[in-house]
Amino acid sequence: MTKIDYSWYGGYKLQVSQLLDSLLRCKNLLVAETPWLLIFDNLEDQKHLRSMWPSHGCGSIIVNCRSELTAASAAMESIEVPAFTREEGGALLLQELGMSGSSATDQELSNSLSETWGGHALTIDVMARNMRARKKPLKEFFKTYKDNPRNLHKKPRRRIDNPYYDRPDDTESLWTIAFDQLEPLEEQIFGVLSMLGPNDVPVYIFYQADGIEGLEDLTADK
Amino acid sequence: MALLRLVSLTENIRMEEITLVFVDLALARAIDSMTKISVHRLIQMEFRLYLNRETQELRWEKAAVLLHKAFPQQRKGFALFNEWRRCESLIEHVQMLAERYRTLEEAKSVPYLEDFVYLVSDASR
Repeated sequence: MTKIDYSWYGGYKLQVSQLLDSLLRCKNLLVAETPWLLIFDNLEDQKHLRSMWPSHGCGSIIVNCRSELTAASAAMESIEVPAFTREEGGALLLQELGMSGSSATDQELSNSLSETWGGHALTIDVMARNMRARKKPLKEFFKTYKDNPRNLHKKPRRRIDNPYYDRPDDTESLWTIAFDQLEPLEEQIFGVLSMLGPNDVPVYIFYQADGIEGLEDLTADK
Repeated sequence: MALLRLVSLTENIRMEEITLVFVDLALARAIDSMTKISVHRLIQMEFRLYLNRETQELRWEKAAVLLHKAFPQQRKGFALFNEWRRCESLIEHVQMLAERYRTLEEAKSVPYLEDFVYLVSDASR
């Protein structure tokens, strides 16, 4: 379910926790002449916007979502926030650990971890909190992570929360929800994609031999 | 050069629909008019872990078979210079497939696969 965390009006901060309860109140605020900014944070499905989209007033709307299709359908202009580069991610990790200005070895370790996580901001943030909670130095965490990445992708029972990003899920469940929605043939094709390089897989490889239909002979094998 | 089967329009549209599902779920990015797909390495890793070991092997095998059919094949000892563009677009994926082989091999769970052997041989030319 989509959630509006906060509505801002004239500098007054109003917390809205229930979507339906907040609907009328938000609409009343938005028809006012004072300029406003409305943020839909972490929008998962564009259908949630239909009843909430303001038709009056002078304001701006920012929709923050993962799907570029959802973004394109709701916004006049969509902007992609790219992943961090190896060095940017490494610097963020060190900063979150309070280790800015650390040794070249630690910098290289944090850059390696950043590369492993593909510069994914949420993962870097979650992992940094994991490290701080477990009080593990970078070198030791690096080894633990290499040995068993999945354990550390799960949300620990005791952790340091991010007050600016209050999502109940962890890095693992972030994608598991999407994985569960794949049909058998889609799951097969995505399974093949997960075995190849991450960038620029030519789609024509799936047209070989028996074509896409040929992949379906394995749909019962999961 | 591997001979590509002619792709029917219906099949092409179907593959585009499947790609759109990945894009809509924010699992992948479609590039160059949907002729290429990119998946974030972290999502790739999570998906491999999401599959059980047996299914991982099957997907790896399927990837090896598909890549072998797509990759230019070396014949009569001739090098593959004339096929460089196609080789260039696929070589990274062959290397990554070999990397995955090592992981499966460590788990002692990958069988001998002729397609993979020939693919690696062709890719080394």
